[in-house]
Amino acid sequence: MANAKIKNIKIKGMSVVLGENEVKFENEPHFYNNDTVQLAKLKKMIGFDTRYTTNFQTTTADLCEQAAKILISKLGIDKNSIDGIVFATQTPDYYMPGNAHVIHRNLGFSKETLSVDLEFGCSGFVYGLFISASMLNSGLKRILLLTGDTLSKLTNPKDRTVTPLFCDTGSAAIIDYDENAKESYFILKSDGKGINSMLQPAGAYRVPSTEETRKDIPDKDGNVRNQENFYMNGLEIFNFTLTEQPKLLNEILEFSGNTKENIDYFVLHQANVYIVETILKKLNIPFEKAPSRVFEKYGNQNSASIPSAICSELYDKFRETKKVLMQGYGIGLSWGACIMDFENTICIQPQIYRREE
Amino acid sequence: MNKSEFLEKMKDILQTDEELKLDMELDSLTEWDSLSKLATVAFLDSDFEVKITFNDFRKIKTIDDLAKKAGI
Repeated sequence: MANAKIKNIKIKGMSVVLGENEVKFENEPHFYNNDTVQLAKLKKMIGFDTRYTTNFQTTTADLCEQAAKILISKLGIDKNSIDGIVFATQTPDYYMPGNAHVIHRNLGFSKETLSVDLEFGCSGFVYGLFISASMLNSGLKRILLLTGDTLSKLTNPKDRTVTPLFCDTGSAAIIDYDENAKESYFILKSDGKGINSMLQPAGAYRVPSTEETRKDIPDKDGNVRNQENFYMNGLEIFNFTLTEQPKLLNEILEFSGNTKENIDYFVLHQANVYIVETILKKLNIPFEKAPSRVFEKYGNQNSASIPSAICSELYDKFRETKKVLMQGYGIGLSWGACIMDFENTICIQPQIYRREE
Repeated sequence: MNKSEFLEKMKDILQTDEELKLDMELDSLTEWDSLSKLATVAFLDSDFEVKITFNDFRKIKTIDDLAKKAGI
């Protein structure tokens, strides 16, 4: 069982950077045979509206690098005070080495700073926070935690089961060792039986890239993808979410000795409006304590979704101490929850990526 | 929940004004799309604590099959 109480950690600040191209759902009726009834239904029920994608030359590392620069400058900290870079992504610049090393080079860190990558999707922020917290309790003092993905690069535009969902985003957070911090609580889970319900089937080493794996094939519903595209079985993932997420949320409340009433904010991974609101309704959590419509503004932001929901909806709430529950769930399958106090946490509202000359 | 209440709920899920009957084939309804399947999964989960999987949907032909799955 991966339940952990962790002392002495505090999120000092967070920032979020979005891909440079704004994409509006209303401008894509041609992907739905111009069926206005279907489009209106999708928009209303799932919350499709606006998302951001990156240009061909812009990567996840670029988005996170800019988020890190904005945050370090806003917090006024010396980058040499950062002991470790933790980067959670599934869309790295290279198969090898990891993205944390790319950031280490680009931001000019010293050799005394460690770099480590984590391979996670939508649960990546909670897992990254847990691993950062563990490192901070073994001697490190400050971590730069970067999370994000650019899934637009591997979803097939003609696959409407995934393409309109995702937003290219990078986030940065500074996590500090702080002896005045209240105890934080984590529960982390995984289920490898769900590997086939969400994955990029080919292109790595189990099924290497060939002409065959790059061939676009329509499925019975008319969605087109090849084996190197991202694939998701939406119904299975929805079932997993409905089964496991209310359960985990109740478990973290019980483990931490909290009730729904004394949690100030519930920040769930914003997979889409329907999923978040279905979970909240099932648990009787009032919507005013839980952002549920961030998906309309940005889409599903993978591992940057939780920081983005906080930076977009709660950025002005932390002048006083607030108890925040964060919960991420997705590919792996992998899911985790955390309860932590936010106090004077500086949250910078999401910004659009600007290429530096 | 009895079967007529179940039918009313399905009307709501399918967002249709058509009168539904238990022996109706789901695949014959234009409103039976991936979104209404999602809503059906959520409905059976919240009201009956019953999980429907992707494979179940292949075997569920009529509205009555769904009602039986829900245990009514």
